[in-house]
Amino acid sequence: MSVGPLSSMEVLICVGPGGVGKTTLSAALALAAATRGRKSLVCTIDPAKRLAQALGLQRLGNQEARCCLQQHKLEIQAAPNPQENPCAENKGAENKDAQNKDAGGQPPMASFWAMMLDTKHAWDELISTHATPSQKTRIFNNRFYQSLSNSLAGSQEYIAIEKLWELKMRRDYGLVVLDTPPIANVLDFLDAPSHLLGFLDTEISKHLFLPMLSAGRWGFRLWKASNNLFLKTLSRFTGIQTLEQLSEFLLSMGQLYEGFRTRARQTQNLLEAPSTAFVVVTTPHPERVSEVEHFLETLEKRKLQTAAVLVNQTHLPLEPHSREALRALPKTLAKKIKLAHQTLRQQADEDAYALQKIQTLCHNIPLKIIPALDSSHSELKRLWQLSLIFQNSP
Amino acid sequence: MTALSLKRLLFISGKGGTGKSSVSTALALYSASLKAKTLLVELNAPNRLAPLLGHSSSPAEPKLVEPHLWMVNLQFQSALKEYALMVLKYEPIYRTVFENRWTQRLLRFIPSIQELVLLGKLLHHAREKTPHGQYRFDKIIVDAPATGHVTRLLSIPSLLLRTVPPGALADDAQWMNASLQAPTTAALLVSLPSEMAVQETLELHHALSTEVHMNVAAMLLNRFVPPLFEESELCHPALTSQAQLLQLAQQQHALATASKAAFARLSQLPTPTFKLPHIPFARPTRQAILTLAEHMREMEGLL
Repeated sequence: MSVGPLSSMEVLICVGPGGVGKTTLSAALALAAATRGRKSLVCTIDPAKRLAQALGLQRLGNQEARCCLQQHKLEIQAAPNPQENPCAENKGAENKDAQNKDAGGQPPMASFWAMMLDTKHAWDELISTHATPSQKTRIFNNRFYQSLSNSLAGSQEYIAIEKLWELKMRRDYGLVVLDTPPIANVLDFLDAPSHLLGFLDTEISKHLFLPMLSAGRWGFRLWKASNNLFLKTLSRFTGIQTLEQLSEFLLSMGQLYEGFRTRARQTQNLLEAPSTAFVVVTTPHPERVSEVEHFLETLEKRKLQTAAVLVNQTHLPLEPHSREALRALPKTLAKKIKLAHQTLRQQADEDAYALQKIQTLCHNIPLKIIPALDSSHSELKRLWQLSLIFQNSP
Repeated sequence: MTALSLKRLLFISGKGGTGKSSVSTALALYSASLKAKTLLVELNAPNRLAPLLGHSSSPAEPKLVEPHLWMVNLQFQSALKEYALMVLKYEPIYRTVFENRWTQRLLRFIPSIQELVLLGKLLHHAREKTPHGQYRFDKIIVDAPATGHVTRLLSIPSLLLRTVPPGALADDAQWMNASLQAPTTAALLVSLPSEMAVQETLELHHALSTEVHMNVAAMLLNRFVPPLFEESELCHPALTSQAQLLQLAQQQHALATASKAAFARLSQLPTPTFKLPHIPFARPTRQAILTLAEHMREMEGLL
């Protein structure tokens, strides 16, 4: 049985270092699946907010939005109320797609959706689901919470996994493609839930703060802190007020621990599910080889599936041309062709060297070479070209 | 006076894969060749630069690796210890408090303490003086993280000033911000001739100028492909009749067109933009870095 990432997987998680074109490839994977008749969504959390650009879209918020495709043109229609039921809103549109059915027995193109995860907003939503109204107010007003989304290590990765679970469980997409923040280490992503749990674990607060707090009331005062070596020392670095704010934050978040732990187990199950797979995206550069090796090893150790390694922006070997062909040209033009050939061949040679090293790492994992596309084309045109590459291969 | 000549502390950043590390290393070699005491800094990095220059690895403390060139790879744990000891002045207290596992877990969650400690150590080296009152380093070149991360790292002091109440932490944030905004501190952004890379460079430029209030001294457009063919040549019947050669010419022409467009977009900013040709190397070597440095030296107004 041939198991292709596009045909059998329901969740694809694209991981890789920065600058390798992960965002565009993630969108292209989703687009290709939509073209094959599966309703697909691409969700990006890249801080550089590039998906919007790749899709030729100026605005793309924290909500799922349907991208309407017309040949080489994409337009955006925000779902009227995606929070409630994006799928129901879309029935009419699906029917319209069905009318465009190909003559060749191809399934009709399904809808293609995109969203850009706004970390802060997603955190607010998450707290709202777990907390009581009074807990919620206290957490939202805490200064540590307010800077959580852009400062807590792994908070972005955590919220991405959380959102993925929601998109998979609460919606009816045939395929969800998650584009992850650039990471040098895949563990930063995989361990985000357990790190967060470690943080919420009431034990920290119990050990460090509870003994010092005036029991039974909010509005913490660490006035007894001066008797405690830990707090006394730490406060020399942070100031006593910082510790007070932090302790309040930890204690109110700690009350949500059980809720978070249940969800963490669920998301872990989703990552390990047979219909979930990772896609490692890289470029054929020598400095990427050890990174790819590390990614693959880590995923294997965690018994997570890797659907494919995509080597993006590869310059393919040039086809040889005959001397006679050159001779037929005017002299200056022939000289220029030689120069152009030299430049392009150097690029191809460099890429071939790294590509061969990456190939030896892949063993049984399918490796897909994505050629470097004409950089003068618009991002949108390239998105289409890439999705065609995925459509035409299993 | 050139774009970089008066800068003591330089952060090299840009989109991933643009050649930040090579540019940083080339700048450091160039500076050391002028007999300036140069420190090349990696931040929490997988230690890529030292092997490039033929040295085993970058240490956690600045180490003289060749004449006039020091290297350091700043790591959180060791930087934290150093910082803590500076304040506490007594190692047993450090061990009891900071090596306690609850403290370790807690420290992870004080907003951005990791970045703060790393940035603090880095900026400490920038103001470090010898007993004779001279700066320990004349030039500090930082191979900084890519776009999203570098903005986060460099905005930490401002973020803390907004987040934490007055105290030791806020005081540190204050002087660090002043260092970052000093006229002798600047960023150098490396870009590539593609729509996305240029867009990201423009965004990064904007973030550094408006959020960090830091100088951007110059932008380098790496892998610039100069034009070769005239439009008329591409339509030459002798060429159009040979599909393979035509394709070759068109490919080159597309690269050159993209390079030209990227340069035009970057040039809209008041910061000077410099073109850097593609230097082919399958394996980055010291020789390749020296070639790059030579190219940069020849660029008028850069070094």
